[in-house]
This record gives sequence, C-alpha cells and structure tokens, in this order.
Amino acid sequence: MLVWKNIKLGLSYRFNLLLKIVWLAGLTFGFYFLSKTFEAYIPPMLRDYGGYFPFVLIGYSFVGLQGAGLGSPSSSIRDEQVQGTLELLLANGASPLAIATSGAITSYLRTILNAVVLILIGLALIGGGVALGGFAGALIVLILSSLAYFGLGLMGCGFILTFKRGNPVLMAYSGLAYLVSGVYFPYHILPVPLQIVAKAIPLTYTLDGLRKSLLLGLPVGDIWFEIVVLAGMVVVFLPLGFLSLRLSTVRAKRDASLTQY
Amino acid sequence: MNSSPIVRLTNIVKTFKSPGGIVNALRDVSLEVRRGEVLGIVGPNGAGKSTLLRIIAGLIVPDGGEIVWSGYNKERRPIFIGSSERGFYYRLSGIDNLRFFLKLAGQEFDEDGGEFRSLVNRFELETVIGRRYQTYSTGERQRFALLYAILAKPSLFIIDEFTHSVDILSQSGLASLVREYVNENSGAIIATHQIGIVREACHRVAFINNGCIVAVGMPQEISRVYFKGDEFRLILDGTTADVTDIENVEIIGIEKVGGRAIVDVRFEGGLPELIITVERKGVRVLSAMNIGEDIGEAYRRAIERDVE
Repeated sequence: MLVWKNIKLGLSYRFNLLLKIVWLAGLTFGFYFLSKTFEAYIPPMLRDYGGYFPFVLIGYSFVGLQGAGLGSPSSSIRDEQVQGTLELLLANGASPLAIATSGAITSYLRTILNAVVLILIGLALIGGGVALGGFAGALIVLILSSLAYFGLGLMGCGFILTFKRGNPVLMAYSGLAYLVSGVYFPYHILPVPLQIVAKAIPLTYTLDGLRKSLLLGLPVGDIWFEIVVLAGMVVVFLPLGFLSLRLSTVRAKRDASLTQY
Repeated sequence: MNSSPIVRLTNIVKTFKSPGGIVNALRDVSLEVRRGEVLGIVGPNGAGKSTLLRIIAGLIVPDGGEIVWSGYNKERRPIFIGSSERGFYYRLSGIDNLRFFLKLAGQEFDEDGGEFRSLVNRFELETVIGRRYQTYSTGERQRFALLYAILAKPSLFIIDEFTHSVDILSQSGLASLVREYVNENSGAIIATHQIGIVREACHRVAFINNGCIVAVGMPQEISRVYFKGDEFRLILDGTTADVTDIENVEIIGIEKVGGRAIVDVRFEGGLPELIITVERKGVRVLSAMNIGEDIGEAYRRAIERDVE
C-alpha cells in the first residue's frame, strides 16, 4: 500500500518523468559517441565486454541501485516529515521500517526500470553487437546487492532520525563508491590503495557480477565469488541496519522528536 | 452510555530535556476515556495537552506510568488527527488519500456506496473529493480529516486542536459531528483551548495545567467544585454604580469596561430576586446571568487556583 502511494505520488510529477527519460536517452547517446571516439584505443581488459560502451552501459545503468538503497530509506522518512504526514502514518500503524522499506522498494523499481530503458536504448545503438545472457546470475547479484545497500540505508535512516540531518558518512561513501567501484572505468587501472578500497565496497561486486553475467554470459557458478561476498555483506549490514533503525526509533519516541526535522 | 473505559492512563509521567533545563511535560496524569463519551482536555498553551494525546496515540513513549487499552485490535485502532493542516498527501486527490489511509487503518472502503456518498455530502466535500488535497481550503481540510476519521471506524478519536484555524461556527459544528459519530464502541478525546468546544461536544472535561490534571468530571460536577452557592454576573449601567453594601449580596469581583461595570456576586436566591434587589438601590441592570454553571468560568478559576 505504501509502495502504491509512492508510485502515485511519483506519477503526479509527470513533467519530471518526461525529463528523466530525455536525460537517460541523452546520457546513453553521450556515452555511445564517446565510446565511438576512442574505439581504436580500447584497452585489452575491456575487449571481452565488447568494448567501452557495453562496459559503461552496465555501470551507469545499475549504479542507481546503490543510491536507491542508501538514500531512499532515510529520504522516505524525511519526505513524510516534511509533508507533515509522518504522524498520521505512524498513528495508523505504519512503522518507520515499513516506510523506509516501501521507499527502498519504490526506488529500486524505478532504478531497474531506468536500467531496462537505458540498456534497450544502448542495445539499439549497438545494433546487435552484444548479446545479453546470464540472467539468473544477474538476478541473484541484483537481489543481494539491493539487500546489502538497504542494510546500509537503514543505518543512514537511524542517523537521520537521531540527528535530523542527512548522513554525511553515507554521502561521502556514496561519492567514493562512484569513483572507485568501476562505474565508468575498470577499477584495476586505479592506484593499488584505491583498488583495496574498491574491494571493500559492495558496488564493485555488483558491477563485476552484472558485467560477467550479462555481458560475458557466465553461469551462476562462475560468479560465485561476487555472490559470496555480497551475501556476506547482506549478513552483516542488514541486521545492523534493523538494529540502528529500531534503536533510533525508540529514542525518537522517547524524545518526542519523531516528526522533527 | 456504557461507562467502561476504552483506555485508562495511570500515573503518566513525561519529562523533556531542553537547552533551558528539564521540562516536566506531564506529572502523574491519570484519567480514562469511556465508551460513548467525548472527553475534552482543556488547558493553556504548553500545559501538556498535545504530549498527552501523542502518548495515547503511541507517538511518544512516557517515562513512567501505565496505559491499558480495552477493545484495541487491528481493525479498531485509535485514530489520531493532529493540529497540522497538512496531514494528508498534497499531490493525491481526496479519494486517493482516503484509499491509502483507510487501507492502512485496516478498513474496507466502498467509494461508490451510499454510506460514503452521504457522508461526503454531509461534510460538504462532494465537489472537491476528486481534486488534489492541495487545492482544499482550510475548512475543507478540517472536514476531510474528520471524514477520514469517521470512515476509519476507530475505537478512539484522538483529536489535537484540529479546529484551531477555522471560525467559531465551524469549530462548534465539527466538534458536534465528533460527538454524533461516537457510539457505544468508541470514544473521543479532544485537546483544545476553546471552551466553546467543551460546551458543544464534550460529555466530560479535564483541565490540565503545567502537566497536571487539576480537575476532571462532567461540566456541571466541575462547576460545583469552583462555585460556592449561586453566583451571578451583572452588567450595570455606569461605572460608579455602587452595589457594595446591598444586603445579602456578596461581591466577588468588579471590572469596569467603557461606561459599564461587570460585577460578579454571590447571592442566596434566584436571578429575578437579585435584579430586583439591585435595581431597588437605583442601579440599572443591563444584563444578568448565572455563572455558577459556566464551564468557561470554572476553567478560569481552576487555572487561577492552580497557579496560586
């Protein structure tokens, strides 16, 4: 029900939706022609993926998953606070966890829809040069990644309930992940210390797993390493996220600050 | 009226830390809301009304005390309506807001049914119910909030100052509607500083000041506590009208306003006899009323006595 409401509210901003589609199409065209410009200089590590364009297409199509998981739990609570609807929701039996979860689900749905549109535009531009495969592995990677980011997002949600401000740690983390996780270029070309940082970030394994499965068509058994690492992150982040949100909700109810922002 | 309580609060304590020190928002508050009744919580700003209601609604956790519910279940939750005009989603229509919040409240909602349509007409929302909530006037928003609360069929209406930004007539009308829709399986608690709402809608009233309940009961019961014998208010022509040495008339207070004197007196007899007694002294009485049963006056005295 909360997801239905979020979708309805999202659709009420129709012009925004139209602009988003135009922006996505423009971005894809931009990367395509950038890739064409440097086609002759493609490094060997990108050749297996079919060149730079398929590589970056997967990167920027799915990088939104991280933002959706990290940002949407806290922004959904914040939106309800700002709109003045949080009290009515909570008094009607909706928990902060339900609000955060619905925000994340809506955001994930939007991101996956964006990714599908981007990939379809990209495939149309390539004109049959790349055949996508390995959907089972990609689905497992998507689910595990979404859960891992959601765990981190719940921690951020606890932060916003307690301190009434966006979480600067998550924002800094998010920026760092964009830089080192291989969204726009392979992280192997980074200096060694940054490669070590990349290996501690879930987005690296998400994009590696998705590229290996979708672009190389590898079966689930061949991307076991990415799956195991992401599953491990889910096991750590998700309980910590639940605990953080629970403690901060109890504290906010005690301080009467649930609706303050 | 079935007098069994829907919710009983015992010795509720709540303190807040603020930059200025500790604020005792509620101190040992005990009261109950009974089935079929509308209980008014009346007090000045900062008395603890909103904190009390939010504790009942589960939005704030008390530091101490006990809250016991009877008849609370998933289908019959209490419904909280806050003082904010916002509350609902601006960019959704009234009908979409109802679909969403009623589903959340666990209530079936037949938007084509006669009951719903007649309620919408009753609340004068038929022309706006399909429009976005952001286009509603203040009065329409208040009526919409009440429409939602009634459709949610709650065990308890918890209403915090929701009529604060509408005119006096609308306040009374909305408050009376709450009373009308409270039945043998539900109750209502309304926080207000508008004594008119108590007169119009409340079966019982609790006065709250500085976090303490200073009086609770039916308006007539409370009035008896604060008035000894028959008390009257006389409005006399001329500020120099002397009523100070009339036999059997005890002066409680005199206030001079314009060219008139407002005199509160205690008199062992009826109102006609008092008027005759005063006018015999050559003082012209412009108007007279019995204030011994006025809940507004009782409220003023209760708060004054508590401050002393």
